[in-house]
Amino acid sequence: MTGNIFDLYKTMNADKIICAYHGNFNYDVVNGLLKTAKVQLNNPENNRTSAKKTYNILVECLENIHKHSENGGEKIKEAIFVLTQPSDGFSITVGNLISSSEKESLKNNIDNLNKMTRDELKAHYRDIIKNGKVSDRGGAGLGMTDIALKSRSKLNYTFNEYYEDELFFSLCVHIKNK
Amino acid sequence: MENFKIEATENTPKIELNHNDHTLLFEGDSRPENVQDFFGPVIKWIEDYNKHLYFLKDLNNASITIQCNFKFEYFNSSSAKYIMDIINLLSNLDSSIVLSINWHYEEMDEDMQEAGEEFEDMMGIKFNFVVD
Repeated sequence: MTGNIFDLYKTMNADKIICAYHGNFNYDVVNGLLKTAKVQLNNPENNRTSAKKTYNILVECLENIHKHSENGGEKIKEAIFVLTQPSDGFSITVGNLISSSEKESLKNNIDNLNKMTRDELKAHYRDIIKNGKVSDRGGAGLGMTDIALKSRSKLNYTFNEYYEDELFFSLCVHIKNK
Repeated sequence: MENFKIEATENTPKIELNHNDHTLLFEGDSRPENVQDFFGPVIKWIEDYNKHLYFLKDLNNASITIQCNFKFEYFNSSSAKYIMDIINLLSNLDSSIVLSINWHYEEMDEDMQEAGEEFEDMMGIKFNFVVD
C-alpha cells in the first residue's frame, strides 16, 4: 500500500483534487468535511462568487448523501466525495450506493431537471417549497432542484452495477467561474 | 410574552425575536440536524407574537413597525421551507402594522440575493435589499 499511496497522491495532484473523502457520512462527518472544504474554498486566489456557490451546492450534495445513508444498511452508509478545481471553476462529484429500485425515480428526476429552462426550474422550486411536506428524513425534497438552480449547468450522473440489487450512483456538478 | 434568543452555532443561526422594540433578527448559517425541532419554536413564537400584537394595537394608537433582518450567510434547502413559513406568517399580520424586511447579502453572493428576490416575488411582499 505504501507504493500505491504515491500513485494516489500523483492522481490527486494531476486531477486537481483539493478535498476528498471516502467513508461513512454521518452528520459529524458532513460537518467536518464542510469545514475543511470551506477553508480550501476561502483561498483568496479563488473567484469568490463561484467559491461561495460551490460551498452552497456542496452542502446540498453532502446532506443528500447523509440523509440517504441514514435509511440504508451498513454498506449504504458508505460514500465518496471529491472536490476538484479545474482551471475554469470547481467541480463536485459524489458517489454512493443505492438500491436498484431507487434508480428509476432518481433518473427521471434529474433528466426532468436537466430539460428545464431556468424559469421552469424556478417554477418547479416554488411548487415544491409551497406544496411539499418535509419528509421523515428531514428533507424538503428541494435538494436536487436547488443544486440545478445554483449550478446553472446540467447535472451529470452515472449508475454502475455494483452488487446484486445495488447500484453505485454518482453525481457530478460543475460550477464555472464568472 | 418572553423575548426569544438563541446564540449561533456552527450549523444554526443566531435568532433574536424582540416583542418590546419589534425587531426580529436571523443571522448566520442554517443547516440544523433536525430542521423541524429547530424552527418549530420560532414559528410558535411568531404565532404568539401575532396574538400579542392584536391586543397591543388596541392599547396604543401609535403605529407599530416591525424591523425584520435576515442576515443569512447560508441556509440549506430544508431551512428554506421554514424561512418561507416565517415570512408568510409575518406578511399576514394585521394590516395596520408596518413590516420592514431587510434582506442582507454579500455582494459576491448571487445565490443569497436571488433567494431573497424569489421569496419577495413568491410572497408578494417588498424587501429592502442590503449589500454588506
